[in-house]
Amino acid sequence: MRINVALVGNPNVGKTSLLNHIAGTTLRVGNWAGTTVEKKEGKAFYKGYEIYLVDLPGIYSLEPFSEAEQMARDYLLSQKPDVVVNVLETPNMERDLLLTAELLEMELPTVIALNMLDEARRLGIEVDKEKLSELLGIKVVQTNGRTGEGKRELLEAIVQTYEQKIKPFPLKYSQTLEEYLSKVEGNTKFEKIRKAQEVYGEDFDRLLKDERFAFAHGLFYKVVKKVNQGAFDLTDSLDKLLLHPVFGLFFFLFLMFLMFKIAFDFSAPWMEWLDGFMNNFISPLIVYLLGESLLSRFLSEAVVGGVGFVLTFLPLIASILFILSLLEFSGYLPRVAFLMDGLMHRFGLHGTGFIPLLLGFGCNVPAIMASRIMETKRDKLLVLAMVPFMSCPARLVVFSFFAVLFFPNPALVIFLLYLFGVLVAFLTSFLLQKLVYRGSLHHMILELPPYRLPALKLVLRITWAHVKHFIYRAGTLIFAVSVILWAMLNLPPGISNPKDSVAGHVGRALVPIFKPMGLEDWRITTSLIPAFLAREIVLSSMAVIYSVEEGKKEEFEPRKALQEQGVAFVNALKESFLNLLNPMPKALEVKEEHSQLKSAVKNSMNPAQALAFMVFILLYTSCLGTVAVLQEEGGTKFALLFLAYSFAVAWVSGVIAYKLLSIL
Amino acid sequence: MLEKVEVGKKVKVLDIEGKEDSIKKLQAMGIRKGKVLEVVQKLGRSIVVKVDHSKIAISKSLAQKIKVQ
Repeated sequence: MRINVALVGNPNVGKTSLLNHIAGTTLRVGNWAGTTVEKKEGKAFYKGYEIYLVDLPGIYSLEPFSEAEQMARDYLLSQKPDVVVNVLETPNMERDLLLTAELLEMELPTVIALNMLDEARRLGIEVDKEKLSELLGIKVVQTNGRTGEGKRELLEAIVQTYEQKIKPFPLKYSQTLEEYLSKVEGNTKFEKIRKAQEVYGEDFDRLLKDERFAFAHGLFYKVVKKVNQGAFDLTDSLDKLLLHPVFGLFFFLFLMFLMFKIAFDFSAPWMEWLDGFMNNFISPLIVYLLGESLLSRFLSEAVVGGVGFVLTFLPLIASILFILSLLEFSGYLPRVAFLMDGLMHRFGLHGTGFIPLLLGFGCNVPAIMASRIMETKRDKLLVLAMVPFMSCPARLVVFSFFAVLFFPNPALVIFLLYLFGVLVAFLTSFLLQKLVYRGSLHHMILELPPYRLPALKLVLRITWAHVKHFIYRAGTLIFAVSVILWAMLNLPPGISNPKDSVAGHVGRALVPIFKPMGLEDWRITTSLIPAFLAREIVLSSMAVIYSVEEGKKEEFEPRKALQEQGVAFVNALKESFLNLLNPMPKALEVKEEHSQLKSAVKNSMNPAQALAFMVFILLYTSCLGTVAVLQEEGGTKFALLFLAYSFAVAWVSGVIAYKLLSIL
Repeated sequence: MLEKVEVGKKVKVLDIEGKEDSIKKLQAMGIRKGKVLEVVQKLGRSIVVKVDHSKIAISKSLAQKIKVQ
């Protein structure tokens, strides 16, 4: 038997922590179908029932102010959960009871969980839960999301409420309001209210609002006892520093620096090691075991390459989501919105947008996943459309190759390219605000919850849920497309030169498109095809197509190769910790590679063409990982439209860059 | 107006103007007529107030609509 349970409550009341304690490893994250709102779900087994819990978005009211309230309301009405668990933050009960009143109007089987028991105790707040239960006619349990205290009682209450179909007593409002309601039809109080709102309009609305507040207020005073005035409040003292106009900003920037370092520098050696392990060990091992054939090449290059490619994202995603969850559950994140609001507002965004945009410089993929911290759909989509223009290390590899080769002061060229990317991001956001998301920026209204020490287990579990989600959803897409790209380069069977492959033909067909930016060489257009996987691949694929680098044919010896991988692992371990000690962000360093390719490219391009090519690579979303997570976060239509848009912008900018430099 | 209140001061809400969604949300979050607000911090365009046990950051443009004493 399955019991469907919906967790409903205000933001920051600890619903997710509670869900984590109940659901354990079954906790899953995703998006609500067709929306950008995050969905968390999980299940527990208790007394023979499978209790399926879904965490509805945190809301203060069921009145549809935004997508979140609309979604919660629609879910409750259409899915009719077997039991609604209304989670309350005990210290803020008076406020939270407004939502409770609205839920009770729906007349669904309901349980109240008074959460944050420990904080309430500290503040000297006591709640008479028996009395609350008596007054409302439903089960009331006390819980502590941090420790999991009260978890069993909650499950017991859910099962009993389900078995006995315990519905709340019908709410009684004042006589005036009830008179209005008696004149309309409806099965539940909620339906009647909806009707009455249509019929009587504003007067009724105002009365209803006052009545709900009065109900919440009255109930609060009946069941809550303040034992003593709250003593020392840590949150208040911390906020004196962390919200301070100077120190607060300074601290935030320091925190961002740390996040950047840990996420990118710490994980870079692991990504490199994973890449090496797959390509220099597993791949040759397969060929060694199966012998040379198209099949063994397919397995070793396409399959292992694809899996390895997906895996290399994991250290990054895990570390960024770990830190983000830490910031989120500690209560710090909304404070960023306050601190950065002055800067970001100029660009039509709320302050929180600063974080994903900054992370974009490290890697667009986790930066796009970080857009989940945005408070509204509008803000989230704007950030999604901006992040891919933030230049990342993959682009830097390409820039430094061409800039050093063709320009007297490459550092300046690279710096200008980074700047241009940022400029295009803001122009894109500006354009979207003018065309799609019209109307001024919504006022910021954001609760700053008390600082809480996040439970490590919770943060780890959420991180893991995100990593798993990435593997299942984005990972499969990345893998599939990478196999297709491999096939394009290696089919039809038996070809020895990329010129004859499917990709070579497509590349030649693409030449007229790239001609206006001076790129007439089929070898360049063809190298863009595998580079859709990731931008830096453009160099290695050029090397192959220009046939300057023969595939290394070293004798493969499993035992020796395994030993090498072991040594590389130890080095990666050492390097990742050393990187943490180095104060400079390592993500901005460049390595020298492809020296033989240099002369070949130097002979076939001029500076104007090289600049056009770099501008194109900067702006065009030639990154499968980015497209995959864009699809996950913004939807398929959004991802495809964005891909086309980025191509158009890149093309126009490339043509302009070429023409400008040709004239000069 | 709440916007003009100095940091550290406590004031009582007299009235909140407007009917738009953001006003309704403010009320649902506990900023209502008769409540006592403490201004915790101000920075650029925004202001943080404390009401009961919760802190809320709001735009000054919205704070303009909150009449206080």
